[in-house]
Amino acid sequence: PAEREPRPLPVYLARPGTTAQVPRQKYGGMFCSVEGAFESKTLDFGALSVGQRGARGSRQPQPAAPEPEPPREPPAAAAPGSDRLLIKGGRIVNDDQSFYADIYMEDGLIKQIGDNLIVPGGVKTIEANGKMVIPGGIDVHTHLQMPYKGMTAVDDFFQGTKAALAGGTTMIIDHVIPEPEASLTEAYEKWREWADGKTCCDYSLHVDITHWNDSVKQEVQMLIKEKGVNSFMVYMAYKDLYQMSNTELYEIFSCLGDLGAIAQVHAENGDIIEQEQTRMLEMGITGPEGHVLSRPEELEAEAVFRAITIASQTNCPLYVTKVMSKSAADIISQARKKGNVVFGEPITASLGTDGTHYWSKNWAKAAAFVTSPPLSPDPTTPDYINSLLASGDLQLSGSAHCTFSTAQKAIGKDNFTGIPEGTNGIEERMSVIWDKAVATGKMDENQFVAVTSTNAAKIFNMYPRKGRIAVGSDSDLVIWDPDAVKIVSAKSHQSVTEYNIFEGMELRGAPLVVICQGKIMLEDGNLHVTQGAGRFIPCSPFPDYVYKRIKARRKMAEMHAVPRGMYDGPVFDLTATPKGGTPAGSTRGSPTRQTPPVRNLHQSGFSLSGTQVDEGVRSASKRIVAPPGGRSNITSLS
Amino acid sequence: MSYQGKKNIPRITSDRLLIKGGKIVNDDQSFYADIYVEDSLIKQIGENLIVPGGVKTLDAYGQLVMPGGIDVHTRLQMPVMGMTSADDFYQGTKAALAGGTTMILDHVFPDSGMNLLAAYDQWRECADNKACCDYSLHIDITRWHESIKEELEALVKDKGVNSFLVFMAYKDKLQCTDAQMYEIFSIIRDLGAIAQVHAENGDIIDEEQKRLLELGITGPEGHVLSHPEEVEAEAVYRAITIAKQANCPLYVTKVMSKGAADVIAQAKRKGTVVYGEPITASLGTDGSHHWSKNWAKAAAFVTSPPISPDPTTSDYLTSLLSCGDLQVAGSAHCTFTTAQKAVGKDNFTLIPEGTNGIEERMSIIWEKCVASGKMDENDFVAVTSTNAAKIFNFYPRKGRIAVGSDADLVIWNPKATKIVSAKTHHLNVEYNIFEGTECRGSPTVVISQGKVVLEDGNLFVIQGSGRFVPRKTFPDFVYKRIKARNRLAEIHGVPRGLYDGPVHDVIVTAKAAAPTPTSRIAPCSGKIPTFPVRNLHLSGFSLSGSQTDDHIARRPAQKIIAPPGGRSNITSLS
Repeated sequence: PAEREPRPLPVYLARPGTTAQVPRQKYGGMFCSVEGAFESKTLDFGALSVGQRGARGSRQPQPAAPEPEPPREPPAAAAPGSDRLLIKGGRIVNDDQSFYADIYMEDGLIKQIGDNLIVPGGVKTIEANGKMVIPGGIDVHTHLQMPYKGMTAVDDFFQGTKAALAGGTTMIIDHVIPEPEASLTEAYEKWREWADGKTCCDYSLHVDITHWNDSVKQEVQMLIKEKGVNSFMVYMAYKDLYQMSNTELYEIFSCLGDLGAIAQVHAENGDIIEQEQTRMLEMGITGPEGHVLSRPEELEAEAVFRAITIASQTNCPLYVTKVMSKSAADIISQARKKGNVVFGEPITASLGTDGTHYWSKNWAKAAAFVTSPPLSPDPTTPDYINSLLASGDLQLSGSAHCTFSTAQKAIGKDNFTGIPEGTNGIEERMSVIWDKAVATGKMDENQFVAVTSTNAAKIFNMYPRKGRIAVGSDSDLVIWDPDAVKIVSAKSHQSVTEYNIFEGMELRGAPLVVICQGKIMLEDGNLHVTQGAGRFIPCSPFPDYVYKRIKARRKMAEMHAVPRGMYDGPVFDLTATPKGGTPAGSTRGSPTRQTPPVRNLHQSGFSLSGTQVDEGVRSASKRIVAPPGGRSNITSLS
Repeated sequence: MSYQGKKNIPRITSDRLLIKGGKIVNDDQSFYADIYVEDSLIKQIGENLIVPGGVKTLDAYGQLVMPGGIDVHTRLQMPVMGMTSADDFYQGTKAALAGGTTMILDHVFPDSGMNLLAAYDQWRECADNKACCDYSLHIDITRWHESIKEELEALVKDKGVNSFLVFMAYKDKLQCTDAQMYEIFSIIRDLGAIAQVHAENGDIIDEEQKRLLELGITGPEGHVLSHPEEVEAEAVYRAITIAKQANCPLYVTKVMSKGAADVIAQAKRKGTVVYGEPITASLGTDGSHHWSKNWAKAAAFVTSPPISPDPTTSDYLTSLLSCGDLQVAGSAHCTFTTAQKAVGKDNFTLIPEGTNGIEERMSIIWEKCVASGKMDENDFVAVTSTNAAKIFNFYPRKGRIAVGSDADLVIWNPKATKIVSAKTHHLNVEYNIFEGTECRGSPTVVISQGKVVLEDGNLFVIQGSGRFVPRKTFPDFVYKRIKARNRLAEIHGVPRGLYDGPVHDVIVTAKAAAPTPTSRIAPCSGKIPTFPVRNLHLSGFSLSGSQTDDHIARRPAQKIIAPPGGRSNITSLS
């Protein structure tokens, strides 16, 4: 067929000035293979490739040889209207490679990939015409239907997932926010109930830890083992509400690290924000600009730095939600360079727009941008964050979609601290990234798939069920049109809010067809969604992508005491000279729990040298005035 | 020239001195000139000076004449857990003079619950009776309380103190929360003082200490394992963030690790007013000794933040000190005898913290920085003396050789070689953490307050001769930039029309648990007086037809259902 013609490579993959790929130099280059290394060896490249059958091509478009299909009887008489689909002539884009092949789907799964597939008759066929077929987007951060001060975010699970599907996102991971002091499990069940009745696409849940004690710890354990939750978020901001102290962070991270979950963090220094908010209000600044002025970029970077330090200390993988500023992104990329297991999630808002709008004279517009951490007023931020996303320093993208109507935002009209926080972005996410990163040549289509879908699936342990086009994976697919141009507007978007923070933005790249659970959800600009069709996707703990390194480090990081002889010199007599008011010596050691019996290990090792183990009692009572080799002034001044 | 005899020195030298033929080294330039000293001040500098007859003349040919060293961080005679550190003000300042340091800045460490002024008086009394060289005092803020502002104000205004230290470590004892730090930094900025910080994340350290003790690690190596480098770097980063937010100059004491030094250097590059103080121990040795089989030796190295086990640290820190990313060098001298350290023989958290370094500081820096070619003699003077005098505002009285300055001088022999050893040092402790280090460069003559206190290897010190040097606020070196920024940093609200759209009705749906908006801003304690800024904006708007006070009555009452241009779904889903 005509659409099977090899398309020229995108310019950014080719050498400047030509469309041909650079031929590899055979000898002499620094990266050249050793001469003769492959002689008399048979390399099965097909076996090496990660993908399934048909994945054996390189990015170079080549008509793949007909697949030697295992003998398979074409199912007779395909029932009309069954969920069988064939996508013909698409260019399949995974995170590692792109190739031309057809895709056959049945029962919500991808059944075959290859050329000249043998499929039942009467199956619905979509002609992709050489357009890209990518795994459906995964939005790792949404707050649909979020309760806040007795209100609820206007986009509920139906409206929100509908918008997601319209934008090419076929799975969302929502945040469960229990009220402080409330049970995590109950909140989880409540969210499940809301979502199961309403979502149009598959979903999963993060659970936010809003307070910490032993019973919460048990609930966390239970959620991981029985409820399919493997990620928990803690807050470093919202003082006296959600905020965790460093000690709590340490305990939570240790606990999550042991259970194989991922620690997510809302990184902002809540203490300082509170002080700054007070100061702003005292100065008479009550509008939305006070929000960004009271949450300067440094406070975000500081909290990210602290979270990374604590996570590194507890050997727990860290996931920083909502990377909004250059400096926070820099801290993450530096930490990764030092080897920390840390992931950063920029959101649609930080990738697509900036915080100059907080100074808008239109209160409603300024308020629509209010989110935490705030959008950076530095207009070069989106460009910078896109670059880091392209280079892999940031790994995945969310939307942090949490929308409130202007009337809801207006409860903070006289006090910016009252404005409910959250921006839109669930629908625009994929297009914003395509426009800002791929169309500008920062990243290629494979990296695009990685940051919008595959990395999320790997980190949250849903790979390869989601995030990849391969035989056996869920058939969540998007046929992507890189040339489509769409103008974002509140008039045409799917969200319920009156303001769209990307209003008027012209975005290249849009989904042409969206397939979710093997069903066509978007075609020819029309949405065909079914309320309540979405399934909960359980996530198991210890994702390989994250925990392989953590496990190896745990083995390495064992600490050993130095086997020393017992100190038998003089000991300063503390009991004789305690002054009033000075902290007694024991207070420093008191928080240590009961001494484990390990101590005998060291002491018993020394009983060989003549002194007995229990002779150590001696040093406390008797005082040796002239120790061997000691100087005479040891006691003269004490 | 005549050697007067040990007993008679104070009387016979009669405060008049002539130093001939030396090369005078200041932080900006070096030149050859003679110096005439009288009444403990430098009276003349130049060649062929006309001086009274019979004056004592010191020959400095071929040697350098430098301003005496200023040790910015000592803890002499410090009370810890009912003990007192082994070197008191007499012994400590004697050692300082022996090493070429003619002034120290000691830390007042009040017991928790003690009034800062009372602690200050106690320290003054101890030091006035014992110190052999001039001194000044930093105050440690060991506990946050409401009346702290008044105490700080009194200290700054009446007592000549302009620097205060807060602790980010020592959980449940000295540690400050972020909010407290912000408040303290704001007070300090308003007073024109300098905020010092002991930067370590105390929460994490506390957890790590518990973990290590549970693992059965009780020796000094547990100290360094429970205080990892990142924890220091993290705290430095946080302190810088808070100080920047409060627009307060920050001084990080005891920079012990590469990570912390890097954070300071980066912050400086971004324009933050921050100073870093490495200490003799971090410049001269490394923390691998914590693993020594000899408990007493390992314990001698215990200090906080710990000396980094990375052996390349000292090289790195000396490089940053040379390039100006770090500015001053202290010693954090706080020594305990082995018997005192042995209080923690079964539990490293009980080992009293502190290392020596007051005597070795100048020689170690000369050896590591100047002899190795990293810095020149002028930089050496800057980091050992001049910068400290500038930051803490007693320049040019100290830290410079100029007419009118105090006659605190050192005649430095760059060729002399000395091996550091506990056998020869002037301290009361059995271990010297620099034991066996060979240092090129040492003082041949030390002059303090115009009197020769070290000559021919003999010390002639007088107990109690040291004077307290009061310091003024708003040091130019530090505060010029802060002041300019204070002027620039005024924030303005956006003059907007009144929002007259619909407002979601919170009162009806408010749940009991949901915090009301006011609870978020409740703890504003009115620390900053309200500026009249608000009127500026509001009055600018009265021109547009509505009056400034129009909104007060109208808004909460009237609810406009259909705003101009609003969409119909505004209320449909709420």
